[in-house]
Amino acid sequence: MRIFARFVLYRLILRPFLSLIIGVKFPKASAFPEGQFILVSNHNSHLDTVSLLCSLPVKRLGDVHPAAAADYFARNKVMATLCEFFLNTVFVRRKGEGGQVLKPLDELDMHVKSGKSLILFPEGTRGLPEQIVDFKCGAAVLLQRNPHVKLVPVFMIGMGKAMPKGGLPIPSECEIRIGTSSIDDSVRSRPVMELTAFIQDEVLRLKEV
Amino acid sequence: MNLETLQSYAEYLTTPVAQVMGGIFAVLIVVTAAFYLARAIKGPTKLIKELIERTLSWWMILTGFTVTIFFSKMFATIALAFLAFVAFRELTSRLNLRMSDRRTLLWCYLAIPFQFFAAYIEWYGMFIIFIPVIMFVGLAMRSVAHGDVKGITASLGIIHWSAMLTIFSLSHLAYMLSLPEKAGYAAGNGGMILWLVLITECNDIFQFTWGKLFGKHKILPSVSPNKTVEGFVGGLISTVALGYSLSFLLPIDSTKTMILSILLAFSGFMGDVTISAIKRDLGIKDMGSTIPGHGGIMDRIDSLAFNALICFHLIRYWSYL
Repeated sequence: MRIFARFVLYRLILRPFLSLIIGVKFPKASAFPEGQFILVSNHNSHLDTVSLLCSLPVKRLGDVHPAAAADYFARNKVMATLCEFFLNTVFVRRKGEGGQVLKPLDELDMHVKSGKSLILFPEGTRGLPEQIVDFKCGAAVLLQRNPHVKLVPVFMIGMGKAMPKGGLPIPSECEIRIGTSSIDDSVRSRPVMELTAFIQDEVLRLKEV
Repeated sequence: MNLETLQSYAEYLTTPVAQVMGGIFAVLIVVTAAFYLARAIKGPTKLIKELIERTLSWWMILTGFTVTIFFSKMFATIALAFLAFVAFRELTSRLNLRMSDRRTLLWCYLAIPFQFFAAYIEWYGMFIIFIPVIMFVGLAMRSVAHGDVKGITASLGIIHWSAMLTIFSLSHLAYMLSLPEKAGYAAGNGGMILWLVLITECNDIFQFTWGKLFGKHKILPSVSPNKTVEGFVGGLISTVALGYSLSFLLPIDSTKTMILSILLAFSGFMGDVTISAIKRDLGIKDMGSTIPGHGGIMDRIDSLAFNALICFHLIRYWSYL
C-alpha cells in the first residue's frame, strides 16, 4: 500500500511536475550504488529532498530516509505524520527538546545500524544558491561508526533559484549531480574534523564538473 | 489508413502538406539508412556517431512536429506555448539573473498562456502589443516594485528580450493557424508553418554542410568559428531553390516566395549567430542538453525565433492586408 502510494506520488505526480514544469534534470537511477549508503548533499531548497527521492529507483524508496529537523518538520502531529508517510523522514531532535534519552547522533546511528540508508544535508539549513557553508560533522561520525556504509556525495544546482528559502517555486532549470566517493578505510580512520572536510570536498568537487 | 481518413481527423493535413511531409519522412529514411550504412562500413567514427545521434533526434522532432501541428488548432497552440515556455525557462536559467528577478519572471510565465490565447482567438490587436507594449511596461513595474536596484538595468533588458525572443516570436507560429482562410490557397495555414519550419531548419543544415565541405573564409571569427562565407552563400542558394520549389505551400506568388526565402536565409543566420554570441559571452557551449546531439531547445530554435517574425509579418503584409 505504501509502496503503491509512493510510486503514484513520486513517479506519476511529482517527477513529471518537477521535470516538465520546474525543469529538474534527473540523473540515471543507476547513478546510485547498491547497498546501504549515506547520501550527503548541499541544501538550498525544499525541492532538494523531494527531487532526490524522485530520482531514486522506486524499489529503494522504502529504505532511504531523509533526516529532518524535528523542531521544524515535526512541530505538529499532522506535519510529522505527513513527512513520515510520504517523505519517509527520520527526525533529528537538534535542540535537545522533549526530554530525550539519546543524543541526536546516536539516534541516527541507530537507524543506520538497523540497515537504513540516510539522506543528510550537513550544512544544517538551506543556504544561498550554490554557496556551501561548512559542514557539520554528523555524517563523518556516522561513517566512522559504520565502516560498511557507502558515501554518496551529491551536488545540486539551481534548486535555490527555483524555490529559495521562504519563496514559492517558479520554473528554473535545476540539475542533480550524483558523484562516486573515493573514501576508503584509511580516510575513514582520520580525525572527525578531517573526515568532515574530506566529505565537503567530495561534494564541492562536483560543482566544477 | 489512407490519406482521406487521416485528413478527416487532421484539420491542417491538406493534400500538399501531406505530400511534403511524406517527402520529408522519405528523405529522413534515406539519410538514416545512409549513416547506418556508413557506420557499418567505416566503423563508428566520432563524426558518424554524432550524425546518427542528430538524425535520431530529427526523428523525434519531426514526429512531434507532425503530431502536434497538423491535427487541431488547440492542440498545436498548447504545444507551441509549451515549447515557448521551455525555451524561455532555458534561456533565463542561463542568463545570470538575480534572485529578486523571480517575481518578474513569474509574470512572464503567466503571460505565456495569455499570449497564445490571444493568438488562438485571433485577437490580433492584443496579440501584437501584449509582449512588446503591455509587458514592456508591466515587467518594469514589477521589477521596480521589488525595490532591489543593484543590477536592475541588465535584468530588465534580459527578461524582456528573452520574452520577445521566445514567447513573442513562437506565438507567431500559433497565430499562423489563426489567419483567415484564403480562396484558392490549397495548402492551408498548416502549409505556411510547414514551409517556414522546413526552410529554416534546412537553411541551418545547408549552411552546416556547405561549410563543412568547402568552408574557408570565416564570416564572424570572434562569434562562431564554424560560420564561413562559403557555407552561408551555399546555404542561401540551396535555401532559395528549396523555398521556390515549395512555393505551392504559401499564399504568395513565386517571385515573392523567392524574396522571402532570401530574407529568411539572412535572418536565420542572424538568429543563429546571435545565440552563438550570447553563448560565447557566457562561456558555455550549449544552452542545454534537452535534445541529444543538438544541445538545448534554444540551440535548435535560434534561427526559427527570428524567422517566425519575419515570415509571418511579410506574408501578412503581402497577402492578408
